[in-house]
Amino acid sequence: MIINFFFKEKKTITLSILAFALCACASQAHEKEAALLPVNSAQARAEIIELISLSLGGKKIPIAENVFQHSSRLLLGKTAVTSPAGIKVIRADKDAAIVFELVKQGDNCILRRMNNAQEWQLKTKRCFKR
Amino acid sequence: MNIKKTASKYPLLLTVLLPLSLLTACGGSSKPRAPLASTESNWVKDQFQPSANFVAQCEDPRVGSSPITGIAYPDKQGSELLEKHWQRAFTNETYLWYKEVVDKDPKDFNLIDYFAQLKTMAVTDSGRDKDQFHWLQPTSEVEELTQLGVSYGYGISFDRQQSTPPRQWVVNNLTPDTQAFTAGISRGSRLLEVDGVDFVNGSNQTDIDTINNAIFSTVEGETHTFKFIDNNDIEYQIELQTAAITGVPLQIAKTIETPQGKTGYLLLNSFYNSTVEKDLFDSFTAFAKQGVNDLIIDLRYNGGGYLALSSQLAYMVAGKDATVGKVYETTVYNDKISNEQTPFYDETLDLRRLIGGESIIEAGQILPALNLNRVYVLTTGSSCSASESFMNSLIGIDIEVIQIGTTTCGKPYGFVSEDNCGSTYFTVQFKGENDAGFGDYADGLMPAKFPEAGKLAQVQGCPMEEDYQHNLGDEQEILLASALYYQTNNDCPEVVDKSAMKMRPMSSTASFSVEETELQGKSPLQDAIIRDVYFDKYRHIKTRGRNDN
Repeated sequence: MIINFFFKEKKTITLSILAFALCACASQAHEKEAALLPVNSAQARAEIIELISLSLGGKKIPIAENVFQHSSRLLLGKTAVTSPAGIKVIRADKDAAIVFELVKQGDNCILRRMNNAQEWQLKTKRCFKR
Repeated sequence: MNIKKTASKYPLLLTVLLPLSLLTACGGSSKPRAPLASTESNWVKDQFQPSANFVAQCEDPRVGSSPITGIAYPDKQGSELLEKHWQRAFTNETYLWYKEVVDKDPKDFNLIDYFAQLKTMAVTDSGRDKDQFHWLQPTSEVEELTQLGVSYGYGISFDRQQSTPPRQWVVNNLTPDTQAFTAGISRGSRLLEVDGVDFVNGSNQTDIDTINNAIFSTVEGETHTFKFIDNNDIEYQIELQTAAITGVPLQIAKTIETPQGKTGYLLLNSFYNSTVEKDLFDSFTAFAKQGVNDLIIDLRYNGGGYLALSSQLAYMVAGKDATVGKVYETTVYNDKISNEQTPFYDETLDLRRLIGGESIIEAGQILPALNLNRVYVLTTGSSCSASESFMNSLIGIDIEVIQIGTTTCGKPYGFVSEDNCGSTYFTVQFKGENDAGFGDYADGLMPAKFPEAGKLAQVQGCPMEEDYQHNLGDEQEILLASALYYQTNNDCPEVVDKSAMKMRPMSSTASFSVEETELQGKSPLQDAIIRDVYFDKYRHIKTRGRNDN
């Protein structure tokens, strides 16, 4: 009995550990990690531009050709304004940045806006962990 | 103030963030406030209620939320009169020169005209308005966003010398690694035609539309044709595609061998792009290793940006001994708000991370420094804001600044724009003073061969206009050549022929002859304004990257 119990216990423990490990792996597989795009990501960039515009009420935002290729974060700031005398005023306010991040979750590439809960799954699967 | 209370809890963070948020010119802080009860107010001369009593009580209240922030508009039904009372109270609370505003009854003005007169009417020594930074715009206009350092265009920067027929626009810079750059557009080229339209003389609406549609295109991949004539009077035509262009803030960093030793040269076009911190750190580290003992900083197209980055640059020039215990810039508000101080930052801040991006440099590293007691700064009217602070702050700690070029734009002021009822208000709220207490250079910092006593806005150096005959960073380029000449001769080069504008060769071992250099011609202040206008539109214009996608 004792032996049987031991074996039963051992089996239970083994299964538990296995289940835990699988859960952990599954969980890890679905963690969101900062990601980058490879070069030649024109289609992904076009989609990103569209989504960012959507997030910002349809505003057209100049986005670099190599967006998310060197950094997983994209900073948006206000454009300069020009005073009536014609002098440019750069508005380098620290609070002005709106931040978007590219993350990889499983096989998916996700664009998310950092200061709210907005997220979009991109069509591309070509992003890679930073 | 909350700031003071928080400061004791997060002193380091605030030391970094306060100057960024307050001194760096001017972003829109549009915190929604809870609207208070609307009351039609009677004007009583020189008696003021808090602006909070009038905020968001609008003639035409907006509904919904900001497309940018998603925050609901706080507007409620009010009146134009209440909006004007808000302007009046806001001015009285925050305007730097509020004591110079003549208090008038808002009932006698419309919304725009009332705000327009809520300012000082004083003029500077040159006769221009002391306050040139006072205006309002629809909030929807000023909410335009861009990826930091990116804009639509072609990568060409023009000196718009004349914008009415006969127009004269001259290429003064090209952003490296753009289509325009690799296609061979040369500095000094004049624009002749745009999409087949005579750019110089075209005057009917169709022509103007064609020109504007090409030059200000925001349609990526759209092709336009530009015809130029270069400095050798050779015409050439180039097709360029509109693209999102990434600016290159530190365009050139190199060492020049001179009779006096190794001279560092930096062409720094912006303090705005947060990657500048790492670029400068790396450049000064290299300069220090190479034994650079003199430095020329080319800020001719630098319109400003983060004050913290200009403070770091100043530290890297002057070093610890010269800056210890000194203030880089004091932000002086009106007498209702406490002043703030920006130190000479002697460590890396990792500013990109502070504003929400990824870390680009480990914070807390001691900055490299050259420990110089003299620096050459090349300027034009496009040298503005943080660029001027850089010069003024070094002068304030007795570092010898030799200014070569034309007068800077004259913006020792800053503000935090404020939104109310769909309008965004810009009004001067503070000025920057150096460690010696000087900050009144609304007419710009002026290079002077013999600065007049007591005229602190005059800076030792050489008044000199750039000529576009040579590429930036070329030792024959007139401003750089003049700095090198000054370095050797402790004097400005002499321009000997007004028609041919040739610089007399210097007598030292170095040879810096410069051909066809125009020295004077138009008012530097006029230039400053003109150049700022075009600079605003063209500064980061670049062409589409070739291999990115």
